[in-house]
Amino acid sequence: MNIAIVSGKGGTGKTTLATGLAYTINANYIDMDAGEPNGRHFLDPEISKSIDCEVMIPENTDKCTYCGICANKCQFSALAVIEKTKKFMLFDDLCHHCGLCVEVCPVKDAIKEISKSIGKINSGIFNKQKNINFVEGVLKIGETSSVPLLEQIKSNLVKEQLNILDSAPGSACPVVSVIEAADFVVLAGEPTPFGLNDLEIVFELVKAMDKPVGLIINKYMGNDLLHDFSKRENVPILGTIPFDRSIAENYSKSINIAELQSKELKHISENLLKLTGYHYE
Amino acid sequence: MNNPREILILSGKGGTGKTTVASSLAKLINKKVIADTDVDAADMHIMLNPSLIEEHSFKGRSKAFIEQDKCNQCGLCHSKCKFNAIDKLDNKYIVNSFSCEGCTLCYEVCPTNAIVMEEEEAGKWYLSKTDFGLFVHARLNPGAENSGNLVSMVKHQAKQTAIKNNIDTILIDGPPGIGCPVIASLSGANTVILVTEPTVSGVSDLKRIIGVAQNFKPEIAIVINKFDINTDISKQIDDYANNNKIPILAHIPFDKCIVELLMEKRTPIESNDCPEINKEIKSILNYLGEKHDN
Repeated sequence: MNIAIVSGKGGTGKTTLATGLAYTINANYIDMDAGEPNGRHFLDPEISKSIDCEVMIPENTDKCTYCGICANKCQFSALAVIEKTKKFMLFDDLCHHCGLCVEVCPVKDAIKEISKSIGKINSGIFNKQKNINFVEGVLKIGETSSVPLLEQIKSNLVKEQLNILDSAPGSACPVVSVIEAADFVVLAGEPTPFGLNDLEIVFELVKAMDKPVGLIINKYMGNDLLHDFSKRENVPILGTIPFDRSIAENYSKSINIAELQSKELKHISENLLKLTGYHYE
Repeated sequence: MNNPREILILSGKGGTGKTTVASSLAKLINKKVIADTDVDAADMHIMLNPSLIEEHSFKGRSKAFIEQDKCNQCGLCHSKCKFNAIDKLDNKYIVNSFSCEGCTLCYEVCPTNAIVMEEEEAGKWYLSKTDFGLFVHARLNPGAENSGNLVSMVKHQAKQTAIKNNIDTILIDGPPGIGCPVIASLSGANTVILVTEPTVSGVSDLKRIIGVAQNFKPEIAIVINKFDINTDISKQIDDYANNNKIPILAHIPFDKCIVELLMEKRTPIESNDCPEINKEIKSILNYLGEKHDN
């Protein structure tokens, strides 16, 4: 079972809660915020494997006639071909690795695909007694899209185990990729006008993708912004973590929230497992 | 006139205070166009109370659609799609529009011409008036592709607006992360202000965003927000910045008053409750002002 943690707004507590939950219920922790992966700081994993995530990009061969059909058909403007000067240029940060250029090329073997690394997938364990898995995607600096990395991580998830998927902020493609894999989505909400605005956007996405959902209210200061959202949208509240300077101070030192708020994290975990129907030892 | 100067606020890590700093500067800088390029989680409008002047549809790439009466179920599209965007359900092939990237490969290979490409709206962009200047902002449809292209559109429109109105500064509130919307925001930026926080995650993300930003060769400066929640890590950031010759413009303390004012949709500079924070934010302004005179 895959449980995804999303928020819309950044800094509302996705990683805090995802690592806290993984720690509390011995669930595998999967860091899918490949742009800024930070779960490792809170789980202290032992990394045993690091592989490159590779995508395929086109390169022309000496059979290329520079007809330019590939460049004309590329939807991402990633290719430019100049017949006169026999130039075949790839703008590889625009390439989506779709393979269209190879498919539409009229000359056999004039374009070949070569691999390029866009980042790493590191894996290991974070709880030595219980062998709980830790996986993180790390996007290379300067790469634009983490989606191929996330797709590769997803294809290796063990469905029979409990996996906590920690998402990037926002509501664009990397977040879609995470929600797609989820059997249940947890919204990490911050009760401020910014937090609510962005939560509503990502919630719209969760609804459109038809996933069951619950809400954790983080940095709670006593106002009703998110309680009202929960009532309005019929989203159950799994638990509440207070706004507290000491939590922020401990976060800064990478202390896992489960060590500070163990009672509340257990309470949230129980609610979550009840809603998802997952049993764990 | 010359190209307007683009001042971009970024952070890498989310929730470090980009929008708080950007909205404060928006209310302090005299003459500027304001833009929000965090198009999939835009918040700046909440602080600026904009009145809409123009609304424009933003078209994304066309997406594939299968006309079932023409489909012979050969499955070629399904097997060739690199994005696993074509599902087989009850003996029918159906495009999952969330996964479709609009590459047209299926359209090209389909032997019965059963696939059509249909244009979809990916979001909207707006030009608004605020008490603090003209404001270009946008909203990406949840889950839509093309956030980078919408960012480029917002930046382009902000620049046109500035040139048309003879304004020489554009203040941009940027997105978190290091991916396509960030890279699109950085293109053409003259000054990048990185808002960070003294946490292990914050520092890790700060170094990554500096790596990305440096490729574009802008002038880079740092603001440390919540600097007093961990003075050891704050000091590490000071040293790191020093060694890399990056100026630190402000050390903003952790104070509940920022959140309390945010609840009223006000920035710290609109209140006398947090003098310490105001002083720090004004020192960012001084830095920007000094550069203006050069």
